[in-house]
Amino acid sequence: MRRFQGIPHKMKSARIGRVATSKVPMLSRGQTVLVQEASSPAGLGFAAILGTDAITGVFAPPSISGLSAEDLRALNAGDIVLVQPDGSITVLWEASLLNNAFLLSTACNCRCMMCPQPPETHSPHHLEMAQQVLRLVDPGFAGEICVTGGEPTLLGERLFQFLGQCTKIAPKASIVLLTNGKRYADFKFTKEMAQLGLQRIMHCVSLHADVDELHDQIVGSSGSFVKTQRGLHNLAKFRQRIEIRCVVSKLNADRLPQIAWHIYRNYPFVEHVTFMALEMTGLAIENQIDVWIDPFDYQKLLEEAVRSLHRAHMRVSVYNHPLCLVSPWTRSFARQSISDWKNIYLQRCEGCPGKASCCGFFSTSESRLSEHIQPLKQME
Amino acid sequence: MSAQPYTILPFWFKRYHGAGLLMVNECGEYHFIDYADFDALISYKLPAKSTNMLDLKSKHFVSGQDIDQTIEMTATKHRTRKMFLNNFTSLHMMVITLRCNHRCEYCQVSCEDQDAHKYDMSSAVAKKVVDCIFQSPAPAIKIEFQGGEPLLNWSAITTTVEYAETINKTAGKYLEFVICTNLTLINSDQLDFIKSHGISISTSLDGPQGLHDSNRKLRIGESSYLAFLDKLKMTQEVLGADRVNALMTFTSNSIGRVTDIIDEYVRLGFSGLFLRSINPYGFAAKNVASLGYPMSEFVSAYREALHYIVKLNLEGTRFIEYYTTLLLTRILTPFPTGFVDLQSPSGAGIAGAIYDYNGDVYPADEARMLSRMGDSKFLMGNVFNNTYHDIFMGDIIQDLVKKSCLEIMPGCSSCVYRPYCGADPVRNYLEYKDAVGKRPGSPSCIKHTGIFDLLFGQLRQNDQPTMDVFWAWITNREVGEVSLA
Repeated sequence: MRRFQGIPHKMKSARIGRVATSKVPMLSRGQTVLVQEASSPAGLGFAAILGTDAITGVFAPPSISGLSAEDLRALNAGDIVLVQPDGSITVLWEASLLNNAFLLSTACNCRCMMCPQPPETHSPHHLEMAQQVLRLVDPGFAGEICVTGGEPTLLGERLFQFLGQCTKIAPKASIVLLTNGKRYADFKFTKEMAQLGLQRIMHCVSLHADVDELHDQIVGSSGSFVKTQRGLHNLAKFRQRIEIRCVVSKLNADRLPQIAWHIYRNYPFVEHVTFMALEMTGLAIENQIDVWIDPFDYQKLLEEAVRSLHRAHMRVSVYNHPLCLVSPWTRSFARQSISDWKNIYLQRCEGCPGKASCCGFFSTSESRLSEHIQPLKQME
Repeated sequence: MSAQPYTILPFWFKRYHGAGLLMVNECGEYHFIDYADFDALISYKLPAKSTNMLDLKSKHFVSGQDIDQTIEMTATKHRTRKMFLNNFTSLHMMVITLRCNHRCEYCQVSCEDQDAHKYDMSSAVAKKVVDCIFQSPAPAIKIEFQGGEPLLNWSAITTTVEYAETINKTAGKYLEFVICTNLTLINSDQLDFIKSHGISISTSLDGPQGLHDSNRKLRIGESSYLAFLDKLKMTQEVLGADRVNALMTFTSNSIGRVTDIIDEYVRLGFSGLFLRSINPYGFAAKNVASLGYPMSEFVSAYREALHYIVKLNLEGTRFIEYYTTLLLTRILTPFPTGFVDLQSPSGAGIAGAIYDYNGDVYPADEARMLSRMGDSKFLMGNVFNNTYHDIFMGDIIQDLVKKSCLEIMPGCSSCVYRPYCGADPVRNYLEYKDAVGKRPGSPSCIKHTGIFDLLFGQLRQNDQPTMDVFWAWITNREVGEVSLA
């Protein structure tokens, strides 16, 4: 998430508000964060005012100063931000993006060796904040709401309520729910999820292997593979839309073709299959000796996997793989999958004819990059 | 608690071209393995982390740690493959007339002279047949008009189509019609009707003129090919080429001519062909000495044809061999494929039924022919004298199902190709006076094991362009769409 740091004034508590760049009526100011380049005294009633210069005076509202003009320009009307007493500003929702994410909990019932965001014990704070943000979302938002964790399905009834609110507040938005699918092994739970009647939800289920011991090893929890398998079949029984996400690591790269075939033969009902490259942060860095593999080294296996699914008329995509690291045949399946706020390109990428359609890199992964990054010689 | 380090689930196998073995399991997965690893597998010494072990677990030949779950997955896949059984009879063939203007050498239906009107289906029979058809629980109904030459009794066709469409206004089924015709008598009024009711045409073409004429003869003695060609053009122009398909029958005259036959199909604008071996019924039974051949000849011709058709596709001519497509769909996809003549249990009666001109109902055309040859063993009833329940729930159909499950048929039950093959009890009865029959070594067995050997040889070879062609057929796409080349 995008963050800025300024100097706090009168900031007694953390506030969440929607960014406005011009004055708004008094009544809605309590949930509005005003962004203004030149200080103006008439800022009464705003949740906070962000600017370059400090606002002084007895009646001045809470504010954060010392922000650059560039920072301020990066905040757009409709963005939803968290402003904190330490002067930090965190953008929780970007109005200009087609995809915004809600992290509902950092708790998880897996501990994947390549997890970029290590699981923690549950704290209700994430869900509360997500609910506050959701209430401020523009009802016309027609992009994608990504619901993630941790493992969001662990929230049970509270997840159902949250998903219900999403469709109520932003009926045109589609929802992608990132899950390890284990909770769906419970038929009753899956039935309740289906009975929410959400038309626009896609369950993105992680599946990292075609055999139990390998998947369980990767996700750090025995019995997971079987639960996810049952979960996938339960979701299918309720005609839910499903995407399978397979993160490629050193542990499963040599089985990519077999994983693809296993998916086709056992889950031909899934709408989309994605192969994702590692995001080298969190546990992935901790376990880098076991998990790190240069995508360049498995490009033939990846091509074979994508080819077999594409032949079988399954929709398949390759995420987080820069174009120079996949085989030429695979390039048309590679998507720009990295969220804007952590998406970077390297110096070397300047002048690459593929840059405009390349996913680039995770800013979080800079410490561990492929040794084969280079501009494409020509575009296919 | 098993003392073994892993649990092997039931599978079938075959030594393969001197290069290891082919294994197949109940969910239709296949795996090639070398002798050493196979021996290690069955003596419970295959290392847990070896590629073959992981592959065999992935394909459910070997159970995972949770055997209940492995069986559940296998059951789900097995159930899916057998889903063609869910909907009961969907293909309903009506013998509109026995009369024909042709007298083909291999005719299996023993047609009658063009003026023998007593063999026409009356509109009263046609309507009664439609009433019976619509009692089938199948959500999709295909009514196929056969003969003789059905166009000789055109009014029965229009009556049936209009009556069925009226009934379907309330029944709401997915309703399709096909006319199986030699086309030589078709006229523009008929084509207008065919077009406006969305009817498809299935015709017959055996190859270039000489070959076609030597098999398919007009009663008046002229070349049937020229008459056919003329009307084919007209039909394709009115309906569009995709609504007109052709069947070919492979006779002894066709030996050595497969590429000519395929070229002829391509030249005439057909999108594919169905290589069919000759059936030993009707006139064909009498002419078996001159038209027949050992089934191994057919397999060789099929091999040559497949090779040639794949090459055509790779050179940019989209053309499909339909039987290969069916069999490959069974091998390579997890989906169900019904095919009346090759499924287990057999589709006779439970997937397809044929209504004779007089309203008699049979499980298959061959059963009707048997009746014409004097043995009415498979006559399930008559639409006037029997209820739908009598006809489709009677002893005959139940006996056919019981005797056509490959899973329990000696010889077939242990065949490596069993999950992909099927039984033809009526044909078995005709050949062996027993619906179970003596299948291993029968012509049908030689044909199918030969074709499966060939197809698995191709899969093992795994030539990438060939695989692109196969998948293009299976998924009904252009080769370029699959290969992205």
